[in-house]
Amino acid sequence: MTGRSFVLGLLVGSLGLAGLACAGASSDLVAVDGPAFSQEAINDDANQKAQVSVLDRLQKQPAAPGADAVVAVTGTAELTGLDLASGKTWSYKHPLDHRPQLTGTVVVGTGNGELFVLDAKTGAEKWKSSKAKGKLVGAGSDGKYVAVTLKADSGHKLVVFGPDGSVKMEKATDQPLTSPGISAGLVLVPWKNLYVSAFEIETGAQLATFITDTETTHVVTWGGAVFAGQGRLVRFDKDLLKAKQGGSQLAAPPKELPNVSRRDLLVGPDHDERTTADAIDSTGLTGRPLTSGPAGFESGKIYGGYYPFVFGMDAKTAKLSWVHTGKDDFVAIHAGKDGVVGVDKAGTVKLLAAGNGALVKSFPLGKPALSADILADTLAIGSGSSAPLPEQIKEATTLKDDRLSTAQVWFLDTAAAVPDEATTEVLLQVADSERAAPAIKEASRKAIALRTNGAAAMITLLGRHANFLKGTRTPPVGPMAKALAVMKEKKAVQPLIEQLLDPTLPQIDLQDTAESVAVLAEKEHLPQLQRFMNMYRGSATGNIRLVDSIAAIAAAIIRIDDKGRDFVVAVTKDAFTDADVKLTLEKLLAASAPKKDDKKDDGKDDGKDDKKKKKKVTDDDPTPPGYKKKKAEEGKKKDEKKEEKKEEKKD
Amino acid sequence: MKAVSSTLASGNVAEIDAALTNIRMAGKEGGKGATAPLAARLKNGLPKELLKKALETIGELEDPAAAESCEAYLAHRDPEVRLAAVRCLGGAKGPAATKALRVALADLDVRVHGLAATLLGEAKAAEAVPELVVALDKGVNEAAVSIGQLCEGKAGSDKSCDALTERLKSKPLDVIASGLQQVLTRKDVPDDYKKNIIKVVRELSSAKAREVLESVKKGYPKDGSKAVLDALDKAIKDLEGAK
Repeated sequence: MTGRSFVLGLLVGSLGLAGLACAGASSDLVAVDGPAFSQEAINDDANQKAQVSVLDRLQKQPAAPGADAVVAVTGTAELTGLDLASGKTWSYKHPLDHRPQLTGTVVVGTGNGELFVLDAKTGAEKWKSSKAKGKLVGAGSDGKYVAVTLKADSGHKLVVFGPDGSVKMEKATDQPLTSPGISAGLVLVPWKNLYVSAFEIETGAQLATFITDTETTHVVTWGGAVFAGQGRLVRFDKDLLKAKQGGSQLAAPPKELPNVSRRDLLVGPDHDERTTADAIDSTGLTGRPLTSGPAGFESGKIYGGYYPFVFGMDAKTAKLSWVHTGKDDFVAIHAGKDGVVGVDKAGTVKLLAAGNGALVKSFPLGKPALSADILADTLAIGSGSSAPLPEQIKEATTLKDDRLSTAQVWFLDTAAAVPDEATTEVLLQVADSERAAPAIKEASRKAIALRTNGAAAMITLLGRHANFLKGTRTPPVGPMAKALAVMKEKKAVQPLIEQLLDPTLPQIDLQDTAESVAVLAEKEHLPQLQRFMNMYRGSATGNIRLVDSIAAIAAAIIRIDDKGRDFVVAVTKDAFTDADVKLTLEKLLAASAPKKDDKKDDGKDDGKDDKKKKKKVTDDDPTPPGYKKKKAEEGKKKDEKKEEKKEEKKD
Repeated sequence: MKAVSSTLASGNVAEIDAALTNIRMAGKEGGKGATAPLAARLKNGLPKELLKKALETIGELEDPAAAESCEAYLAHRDPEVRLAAVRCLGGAKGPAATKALRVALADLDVRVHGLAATLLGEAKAAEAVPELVVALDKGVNEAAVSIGQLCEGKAGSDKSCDALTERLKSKPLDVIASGLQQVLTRKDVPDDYKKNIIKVVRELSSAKAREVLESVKKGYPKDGSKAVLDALDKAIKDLEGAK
């Protein structure tokens, strides 16, 4: 049997069984002949006319408002629902073999071989049916009709039920059908992940088939409009006819989406076969597409979930707007018009404002949620106050949980891009936190090193030293030192030197601290710098960071003191100076030696500092004057001794 | 000492090592003049092993003037050097050394703060009792003995020996007993206070408590108070057969 004849066979069989005829469509619609769910007639004139008529019907008869509700699986055979408007909960017991779905104003579930439909607001059972044979794939409703797609051994089926649970329409095919939607008396069924076919429910007439030009596993009705897609959502309006040319109103998440939450706005229906939430549910992405005008998202936001986090992002740039940190992992999130609704594992339903993530309301389901579905079609979440973004990021990034580091690093990167002092303080707190995971601390340390403000907070933090009795720890000195050096913050020198001379300064911070001290130190700090060199020059071999730190301090000594070079030369020559230190200091001395032609290469000649210039040009000896004088004296003494010996020999 | 000074200033490891040995052998009296050249040598730095030896040597001179040189090396990154610096301070004695030992009590290294706790007791640094109590609470068992040596035999002060009895149930008995033993054998602590300690220990009603009291009795000074000794005997008798 060919695919087509199989379809026809199924179709005829189903029509015969249901006793339904493919009658002509209503007068405003155009019926299309041929097998259902076939792409053969897509480019025919009839289909194109039918497409226009379907879109006209959808525009004239906006989709009925859906519920504002939550339904959660709270047991192996138990559902708990919540009316988001009143906060009232309900429960319903029924075996479950598929995650229940909220669509229109109803909850559709299956289990124990029957389909059940409940009022989403109250949980009241509307009807049950055993006529939906097969495994539930998806469901759609406008509150009056309920359409389900099913997968059976014989193929795929679409069954549409009337308000009393009677079968109004049934279609069979070998094409994979996914999650349908109902609007304006039409059922719109996605198939083969690319097409959507429309049927008139009352007449059973086959109308148009559309190409969405985006992966399509769902048809949904939100805010009176109809959308289809999965990762992106295309609006069913006249522009849909230009989909192939890229002219449709396609609401797409931004390309810059962080690698944190999932990439698709909706999840493939096969995922809902599991009644318990998984990582896909806890890393959700949601956005409410605009119902008119150019494609986009309500409030200019899309929302991501990442275990205990829900965050708002700019819908065009994916820039983080806010992050809410919950106590428990979220198992579902769903965008409303002005915010997002989330359900966590503990069974708490949270309403978060679009603008700042303020927790506007929260409702308890009264039981932990194994999984949940949310619909917030008309709900106005409203607004509230929340902590500023840097504080929200601090809360999110100091949560110690290895699963969260990907998101936490992204939050910190976001914070690092905010150049204000408050953010610097937050980065300091994260880097200094005992609770933050190592990867997060590292990310905040990197960000701190690049800050150009917050010096006062850094200096205050530098005042804290590790102390066994007080139970205090060394702060993140290295990155602060780097930032303070770039800021040329002279007030930081003494606290930095004190950290440098503190034995508890971690090895990782040692070199950055020494190098920053070297940049900032002045003559008054010379004794402390010399102390550091003397303390370690004899016991640094093998410790590269310590050796390089000694070299940095030596460079500072040369820079700030006229006799600094003598000191460093003396240290280099001292028998107790380690070999590694000697080698490094010798290189430093060679590199920093005054050069004969320093000024010759300098094309500028402003006539100033003539004396200095003359001195440098004529002085080709790298040793400083003091050292030269000492050497000259030593040489003189040697000469005198030689003379004495000569005279002794003569005698 | 002139020769020592020039040897210490030299760059010869063997010569300096020998000079340090000679100073140690000369002892406190003989090596008196070596503090200044040793301090100068320490200021200019030395390789680790020589540095440790120099610190210990200057400490053995028991010269308070050495405290500054010892203290400087409490800042060394190598805990072994810091440990030598603490020993050095313990030897140097004097207010500056005591002050530096209190700093060392806050060192993160367990050997360093443990030794500092012990040496504070030996240095009779009664002002360090509150810090020693904090150290004891943080698990520095050496602090118990020092507290016992330094605490005040009266209630109601932050230096009171009550700090030990109050911890009888929260800290290992061996640790607290090591401090209480000090208190019970001190002559400056009133008998009534000692008898109260004996009573508190006896109330523990354990074989371990009896062992502690027997140990105290064993080391009790011959010229110690008879009333305290009687209280000890009675408590030990009361605890006979205790488990």
